Amino acid sequence: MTLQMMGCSHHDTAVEFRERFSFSTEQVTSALAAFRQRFPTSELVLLSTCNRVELYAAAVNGGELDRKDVATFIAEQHSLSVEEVLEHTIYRVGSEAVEHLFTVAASLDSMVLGEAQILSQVKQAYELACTAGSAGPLSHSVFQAANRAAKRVQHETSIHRRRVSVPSVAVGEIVPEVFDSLSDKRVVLCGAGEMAEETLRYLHQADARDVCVVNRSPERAEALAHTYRVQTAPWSSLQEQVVRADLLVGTTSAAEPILSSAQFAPLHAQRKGRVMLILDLAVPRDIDPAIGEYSGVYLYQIDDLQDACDKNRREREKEWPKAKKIIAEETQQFLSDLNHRATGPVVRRLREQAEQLKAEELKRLISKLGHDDCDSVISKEIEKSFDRLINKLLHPPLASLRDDAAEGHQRGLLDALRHLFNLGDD
Amino acid sequence: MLAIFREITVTCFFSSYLIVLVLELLRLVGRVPGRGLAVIAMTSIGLFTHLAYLAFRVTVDQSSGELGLLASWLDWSLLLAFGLTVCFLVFYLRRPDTIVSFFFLPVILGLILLAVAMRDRAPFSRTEATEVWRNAHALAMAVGAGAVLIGFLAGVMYLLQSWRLKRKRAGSTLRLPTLESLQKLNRHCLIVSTVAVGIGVFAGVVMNLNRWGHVGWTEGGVLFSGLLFAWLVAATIVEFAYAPARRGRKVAYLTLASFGFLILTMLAVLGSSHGQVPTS
Repeated sequence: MTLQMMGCSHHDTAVEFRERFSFSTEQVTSALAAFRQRFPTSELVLLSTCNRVELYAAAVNGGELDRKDVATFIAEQHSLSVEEVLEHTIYRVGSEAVEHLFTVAASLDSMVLGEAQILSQVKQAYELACTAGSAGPLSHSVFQAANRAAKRVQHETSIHRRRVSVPSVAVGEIVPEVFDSLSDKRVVLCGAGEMAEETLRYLHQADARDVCVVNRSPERAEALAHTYRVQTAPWSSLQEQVVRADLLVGTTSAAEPILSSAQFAPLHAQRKGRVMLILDLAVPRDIDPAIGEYSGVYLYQIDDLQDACDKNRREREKEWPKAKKIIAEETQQFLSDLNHRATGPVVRRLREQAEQLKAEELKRLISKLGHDDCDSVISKEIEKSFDRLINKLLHPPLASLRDDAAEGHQRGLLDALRHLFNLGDD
Repeated sequence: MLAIFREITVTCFFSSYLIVLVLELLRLVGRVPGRGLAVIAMTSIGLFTHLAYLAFRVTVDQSSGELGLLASWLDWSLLLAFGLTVCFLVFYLRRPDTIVSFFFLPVILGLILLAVAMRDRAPFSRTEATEVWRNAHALAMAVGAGAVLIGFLAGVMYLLQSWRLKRKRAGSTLRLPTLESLQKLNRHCLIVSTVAVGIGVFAGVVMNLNRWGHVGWTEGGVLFSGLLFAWLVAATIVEFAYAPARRGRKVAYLTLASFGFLILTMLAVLGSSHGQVPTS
């Protein structure tokens, strides 16, 4: 089987397209089910975060799935054209796809290098695929290996020290440019999901005391507010909260902006020129970009954090080669193991065939020598000689096969062996 | 008119301030309806009579030949008490729920009592008074100009920081102070410069009266100093009375304009004989 990846990320695709391309949790579940129905022998894991949407598909070599099939599947999920999908996405296959997944899981491809959130998002995507039944042997092994590679990078480099995720960059880098302290500022946090929770954690660390969580689902808002001992407000009071806010953070998964420029105009007048910082960390965006044009309003959207992330990336550049080396080693090791595992059935059948021949020949020889006359000690010696003979005969081809497997079966010895010894197909 | 002023004595404003202190002490008893309004009214009456008394003294002193204007321990104690009362009123108007009166009023009353105790001490001569007020004028104007200059720099930094943040440059290596601290600095500079230039202009007027017996209001340096002070007072009033003016870029623009007035004043001072000893 071969792994292939098709997707887009903040590196090469604008947020406008990522918004259209992204999957909510419900959409991921239904997409995995649809994939399973259409390509029953293939595997799929779908990773959809704020900064990237990536489909990891595994199919039998030369089987039912190619690049166009994956693009068509995505296009149908989002009412996009296939050409649009092909134009805006990147495609990796084989070892490149494996290396890409390891790089993503180790947070070396994140907007904020070394952020911790991505590994849990990769794990969640894999678990969702397992639950939906769209994961298979290759997905299992490659995602487990990705987890291992990410952990190795975490432990063997300092790239994850003082980890910085998008919310932490927003709170740690942007807020200190506007406010001296958050202790006397009104913070309104829209949303109560994972991003909201992480943002709230950093706000808490930054000594924000007057925080109000506003969410469509009051139960989730209450649960989050209870954890951090902050207030909540009903969704209907959002505009009133905007008037009071010094810092507004958007983290909802709403498909449309929760605050339009037209809605904001009268609120801005009520604010009487008070400076307002808006951190829109949601994709699709929560805040109408036109709001950033108002005087005294400073709007930072997820892509605007790039500057801070670039700085962060530069600071961690020293660790980058070491981390990349680990990823390369892990990729090589995984592919080697994968290829070695592929030789397993052939080697086993070859040995079984040899054992069968040995047993037949041994039986024939012993019956010829006469069972009664044959000393049991001599019988054992004869059997040992047969074993040595088989091992000596099989050792060179199996060693070559192992070497070839480590190199990705470039010389085709596995197929040759299968045909030479008539071992049959998988 | 002068006849009415003649009737004003230290007792008038001392009594007013004493009543204010008593009214404020009523806080300890409980809530008294109309207390706040009465405090403001009595303080205003006290300030008016206090100012009238000082003005009358200037008028009387001016006709007394060799004696300096506002050049006695009595005058200086009363002036200091007047300044403290103005500060108290400003603090009180901003936060009427606080007990700043417990701290200010005893000192104000103490200064007035000190003035009364010192009333028999002979005042300084006109020459000595001129020197004292010249130094006060120079020092206050220097502080005022410094505050305007710092306010200007804070205003420029504010606008630059605002420009950076609007263009998503936050987090870069070349950082500026936060918008919040620059806004605070702007406001403080505006207030300090207004007070300092006010003191400077007042000291200049007294110095001129001591020295020449009149003020040359049409002289460039004096005219533009007056204009600078008028602008600063207007800007401070706008800043206090109109909330949007104390926030964001508006306060930065106010301090930038103040710097413009300062430049005009400096040009007028340097381009004239202001502050120079005339050569005979």
